[in-house]
Amino acid sequence: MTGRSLHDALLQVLGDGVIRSRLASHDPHLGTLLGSEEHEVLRRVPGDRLQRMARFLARHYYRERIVRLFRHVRSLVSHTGRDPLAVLTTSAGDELLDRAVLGSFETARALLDLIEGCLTDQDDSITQGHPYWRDLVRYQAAMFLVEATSSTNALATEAPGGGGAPSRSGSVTILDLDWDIPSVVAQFRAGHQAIPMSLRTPTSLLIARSRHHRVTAIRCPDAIRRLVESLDGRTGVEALAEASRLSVPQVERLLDQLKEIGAIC
Amino acid sequence: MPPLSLGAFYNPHLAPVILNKAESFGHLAMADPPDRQDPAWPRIRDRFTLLLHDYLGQLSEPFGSDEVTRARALLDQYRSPWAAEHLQRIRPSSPFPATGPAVQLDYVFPPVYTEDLLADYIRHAKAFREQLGVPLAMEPIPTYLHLDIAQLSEPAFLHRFCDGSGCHLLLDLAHVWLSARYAGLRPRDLLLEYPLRHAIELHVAGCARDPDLDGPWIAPVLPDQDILDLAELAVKHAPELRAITFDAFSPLLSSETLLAGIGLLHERFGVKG
Repeated sequence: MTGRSLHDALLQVLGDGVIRSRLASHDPHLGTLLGSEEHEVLRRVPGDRLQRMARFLARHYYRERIVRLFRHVRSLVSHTGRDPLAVLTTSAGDELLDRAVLGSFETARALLDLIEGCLTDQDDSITQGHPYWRDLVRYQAAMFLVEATSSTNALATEAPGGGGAPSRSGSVTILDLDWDIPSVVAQFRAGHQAIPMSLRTPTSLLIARSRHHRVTAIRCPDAIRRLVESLDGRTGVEALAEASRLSVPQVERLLDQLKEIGAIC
Repeated sequence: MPPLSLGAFYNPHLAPVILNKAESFGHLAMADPPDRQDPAWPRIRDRFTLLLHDYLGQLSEPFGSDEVTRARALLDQYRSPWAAEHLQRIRPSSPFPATGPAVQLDYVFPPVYTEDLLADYIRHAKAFREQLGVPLAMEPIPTYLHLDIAQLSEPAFLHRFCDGSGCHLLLDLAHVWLSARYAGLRPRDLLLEYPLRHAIELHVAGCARDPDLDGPWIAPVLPDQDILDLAELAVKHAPELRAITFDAFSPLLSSETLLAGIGLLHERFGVKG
């Protein structure tokens, strides 16, 4: 056992509620995963301190993500009275933090269920004053979930070998909204409380996570949607141009931009 | 001793207050890159000495070219006289394949202070410092979880780290107070064990009870007299000290707390008369 191997095991235990549960229940097979000596050292750590530290770290982990990825919803707190951060101080939130697997899709999905409940239950009075509210919540929820989605090749099993053709990342989500949420956000960031009804217009956004875990949303007109849906790892640039009804230079430029935001892997 | 600069972290939501009281801030520490939509950023950049305190990477591992390029770009943008990084370890060497996603804590967390990790930190910090071309200061993190293994003390680890890597020390007095608290030591005694001769910057902030930890932890609040006394003691033993920073960085930080914090530093460490 080295300091490095022990610390690796400690980080894994702190970040994974399932492993912590196995440690607490004296699962004899856990040594196979963590290393037998590492397992012995970690078994000697007082369980309550380990659990406290893990909950503390999980709370910070998800608080940071809620603040960053629900910032527009949170900027309306004084009008709506709904702050997604509040779920982290509920008993359901505490329970989730205790079994959280940091960075996992499953934990993000479970937390998002709590957040969406907090934001949209009995929200009639909010939607009267802010008719784009539900779309704003859907937009921020999608950002939150994409952040926890693997960016590996979504079509790896469909395209063995790859052949060098661009392939859609597993993190890509296309969101269809009734409101032009990017413009809505720009309006209330500029301090405008009354959002023009003209912004109620069908809007599609493509959301992806880069390899540096940065989540980006861009507008997704039909041509980009067709292009992204054709990125199967087998289709070359000329065929992509034909499928998306764009020119080859346009497709090449778009592929560069999509790669930059993590929509292509 | 060179003149001490007294400053604070740059909290973008308080930019108007900072600009209005610019004479109070000798420097601003940058925990995050500036937001492209921050209207105050050009004036902040022109007006203040900026210190690079962003998360640059985990120095128990070698830095990749992306990390070095990003750090150099931030350094150039800020014209920072030194860079700082935490002595932390927040992700394992490699993912555990049998479990879920690769763990990354996203919050400062100390390593274990063993010989193998000491050698790795020294090697990687030395290489990174040479690539940056400016002094690199390391800031230790308080230990809440103590593991029952043979390891160096935090100060002994830092002595050998600074000597071996040529790096400086960035010491947060609240961290020292917490390390002492959770190790059952007297803060003043522990403080004097650190390699203060290598200290280039001090951080001063407060602690508050954390319900998860059921004890005190770092918080964006004003330092109490104990922390300020520790800072004063550190200053006396740190001949290369260049700056003291009120370490409060939070979107919830109020302008009153920020100004009171920098005010406390001026009361204790400002030029008298």
